[in-house]
Amino acid sequence: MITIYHWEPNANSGKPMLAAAEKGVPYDSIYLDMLSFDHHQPEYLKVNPNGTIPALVHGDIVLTESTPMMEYIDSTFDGPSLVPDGAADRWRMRQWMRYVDSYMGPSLSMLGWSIGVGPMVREKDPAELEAAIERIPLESRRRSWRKAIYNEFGEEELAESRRRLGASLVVMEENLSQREYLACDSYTLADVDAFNSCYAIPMFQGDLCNADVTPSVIRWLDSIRSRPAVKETWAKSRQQFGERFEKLNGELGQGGSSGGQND
Amino acid sequence: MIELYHGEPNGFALKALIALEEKGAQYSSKQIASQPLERAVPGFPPSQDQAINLEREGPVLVDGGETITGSFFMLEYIAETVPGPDLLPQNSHDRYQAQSWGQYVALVLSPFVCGLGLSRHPIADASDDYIDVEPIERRQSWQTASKPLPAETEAIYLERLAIAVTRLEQELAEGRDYFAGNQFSIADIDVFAMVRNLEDVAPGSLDDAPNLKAFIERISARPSVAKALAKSASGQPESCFLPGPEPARWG
Repeated sequence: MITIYHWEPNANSGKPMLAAAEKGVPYDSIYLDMLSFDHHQPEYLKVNPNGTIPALVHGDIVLTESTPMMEYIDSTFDGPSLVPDGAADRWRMRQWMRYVDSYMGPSLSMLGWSIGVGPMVREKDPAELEAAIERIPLESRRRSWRKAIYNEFGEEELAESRRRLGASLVVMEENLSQREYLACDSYTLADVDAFNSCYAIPMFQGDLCNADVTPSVIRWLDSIRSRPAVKETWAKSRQQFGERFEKLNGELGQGGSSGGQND
Repeated sequence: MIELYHGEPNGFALKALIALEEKGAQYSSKQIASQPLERAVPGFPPSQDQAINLEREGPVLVDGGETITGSFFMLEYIAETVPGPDLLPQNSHDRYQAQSWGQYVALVLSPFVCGLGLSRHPIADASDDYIDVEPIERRQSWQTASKPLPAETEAIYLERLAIAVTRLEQELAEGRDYFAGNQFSIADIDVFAMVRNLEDVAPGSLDDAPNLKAFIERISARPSVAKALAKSASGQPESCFLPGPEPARWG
C-alpha cells in the first residue's frame, strides 16, 4: 500500500493522486492544508525534509518529485498503462510534462496567486505569516513563497505570464487539433499532468481559452473531466477548488464550457 | 541512421554525443554554428512539437521521421531505442532518481551554468538582428549573447550555482559513485556534461566539493567522453556556450 501526502487535487498534488486513480492503485490519502502551511510542520518534515508536497511513500521509498513520481506509479503497479509504447510518443509525453511544469505552470500559478490564493492567505495574522515563511526549509522555496504571499510580482510579470499562457494555449490547440491527446492518440501522463494545471483556465482566462478560440483544448478538457478517475480524485477536495470543479461540470452539462466569463 | 545536429561538445550537445558513443552507435554527426536553431539547422522546426522544447539550442536528433530535442529526454530516447550497453537505471526507483536529476539539471543547474559560461565566453558575432527568433524571451537571450552578464545578475547566478553544487556534492558524499542506483547511467551523463567545466565557468566553485571533482575525473576517463570531445571543430569546446534555458521565474 502506498501513502500520498497531498493538498488539493490541483497542480502538483493532483499528479500522483490522479495517476494512481487512473491505474486503480489504492492509496492512503493524507491531506495537508497548504494554505495553513501544514507541509512545513515537523511531522511532515520527518517524511520530506524539504517540506514540498506531494510526497509518495512506498515501503522504505520516499518520492518527492511529482512528475517522475507518476512514472514510478505507472511502472511499479498493475493497471492500464499511462506511458505509451512507442519511444517517440514517450519522448513527446515527457517534453509536454516539462513544458507544462516549467513554462505554463509558473505562469498559471502566478496568475492564480494574484487573483485567488494570495488574498486569502494575506487575511492571516502578519506575524504568523512571517513565522510560517521562516519555517520553510528550502531557501528557494522561501523566496517563492514570499513572492506569492506578498504579491511581489509586478504588473509587468503578470502581463508576461498572461502572454506566455496565451502563447502556450496556441501551441496546445495546434497539437490537440492533430491528435486526441497531448502526446499521442491515447491518454498518457502528459494529459494527467497538464489537466491538473489547466482544468480551470476557461473559468479564469476565458478570453484566451474558449470554444471559439481553442475548440480542441476545450474538447480535451471536457473529455478528461468526465473520466471516473478524475471525478473520484476531485471528490477528495476540501476547499474551493472542488466547487470550481463542480462549476465547470455544471457548465459542461449546460451545453459545453463555452467560457468567456471570468470567475 | 540517426543524425545528430550539435554544436561544440559542451553542455547539452555533449550529453547526446557521450550516450551515442557509449552505445557504440552508428550516427551521422552534423556540426552546427552557434546560432539560433532555426538558422543553424535546415528545416527546423519541422513541426509545432518543437515549440515545447525549452532548452532551445539543440542538440537535435533525427531518427527516421522523428525529431527529438530536450537533452535529458534525448538521453532517455537513446537509452530506450539504441542497441548497445544499458544506460537506463534498472529498477523503477533508480529510474525515478535519474528523472529527478534530469529535472534538477535542466531547471536548476543548467540556467546558471549556461548563463555564467556564456558571460565568460560571449558569442562575439551574436547579432541583435535575431528579430524572427521565437518565443520573445528566447530572442532576448540571443540578442544579449555577445555581452557579459551585468555584475548584479552574475552575483545571483554564482550564489544559486553554489547551492546546486552543494546539493550534488551531498548526493555523492554518501559514498555513492553514481547519481541513480549502483551503475553508470544517463543520470551521470546528464550531470557530468553540465559540471565538467565548472572550474572555468565559476572559478573556485568546486573547492568544497571533493566528491563531485572525483566524479568529474572518473567520468572524464571514459573512452566515450574522449570520443565525444573529439567531435569538436574548434578544438576548444570548453569555451563554447549557448544561451540555454532561462532561470525559474518564481526565483
